[in-house]
Amino acid sequence: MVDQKLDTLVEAIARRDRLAFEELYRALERPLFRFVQIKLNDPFRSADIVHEVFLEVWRSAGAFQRKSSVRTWVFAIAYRKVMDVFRREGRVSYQDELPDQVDDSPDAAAALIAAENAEAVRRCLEGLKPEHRLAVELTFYEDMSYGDIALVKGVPEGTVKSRVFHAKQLLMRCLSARLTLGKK
Amino acid sequence: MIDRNDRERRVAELLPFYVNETLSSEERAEVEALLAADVGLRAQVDLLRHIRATIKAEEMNYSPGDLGLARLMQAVEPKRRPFRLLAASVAAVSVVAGATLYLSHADRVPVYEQAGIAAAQGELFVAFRPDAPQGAISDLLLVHDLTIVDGPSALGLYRVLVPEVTSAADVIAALEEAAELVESAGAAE
Repeated sequence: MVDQKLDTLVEAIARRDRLAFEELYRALERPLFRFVQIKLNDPFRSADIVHEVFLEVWRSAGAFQRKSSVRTWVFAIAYRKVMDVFRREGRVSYQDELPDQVDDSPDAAAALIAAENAEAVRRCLEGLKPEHRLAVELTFYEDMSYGDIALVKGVPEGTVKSRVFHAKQLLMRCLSARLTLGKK
Repeated sequence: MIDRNDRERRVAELLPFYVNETLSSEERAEVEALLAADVGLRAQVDLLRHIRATIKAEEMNYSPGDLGLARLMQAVEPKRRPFRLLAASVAAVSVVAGATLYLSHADRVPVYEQAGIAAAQGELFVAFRPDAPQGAISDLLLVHDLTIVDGPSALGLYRVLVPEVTSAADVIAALEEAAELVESAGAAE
């Protein structure tokens, strides 16, 4: 759904339009759940977080100031709630401790051959740390700009670009290795 | 002056956003200029397109879906007056019970103190309709992550535990919405 349509829905939700709320839910529920689930790896808790996110959207739609797109605003709410869970439960977040020294150049051509196999790509994605995986998801599932991802996660744009770059390097390395080892 | 390595690194960092088509026109032009001269970078673009296509094709089939929507719409339903409903229900049953007890045991005081189900905070008293199917009641409790911790009392009330992270008011509203199953619901105080 295009951003302009989402804007219109949030305006209507601010006027307590339940049909608009339902439409926004249908547009964003699945990607939001996916986003939360990748971080929490707990479908029940993730469903609760998605529920809380939409309740917050319902309550604060009138205060939405359009400093970002609706999608970015909603994902930022979800990200904050996920981080709240991490803080409450004392879970470790890798957000600030990601290694940035994976710059040796894996073989892009070999990785490309391996990537013809979707299962190999999925396996390598699953091997990423949650913060790398989230960055890749927002980039390729949500097609967000690095500026929007920075807003969602509350980090500088340079951090986002660097994180996605390193995630790409790790994926290339994983795919090359799978090709070398003859794994699917 | 930006040296070649810095430029290559900068463009390499922009590649994922070139693939998802969110770059500005200036950034896009910069990437395309380098792509034209670098076969390795072009292989990376192809790889990123494969990764993007795989991610887009992958679905999570167990999102809350319609069940989550139903729960959400119940939660945003304008609040009614659950306690008044509950009180009316209790009063009506109590009047009948009291009258019966009075007629048959006039020397005894009628007792309707929820027969040993004193409640704690975060708990509700819920009365289900006599004809409500057990399976439907179970589904309703599961959707809202509720647990029956006691009951039924002599008045047919169940003491129901609400999870800490959930608003009791929201749960009450949701239970009231399920009027075909729930006769009354109110905070246990």
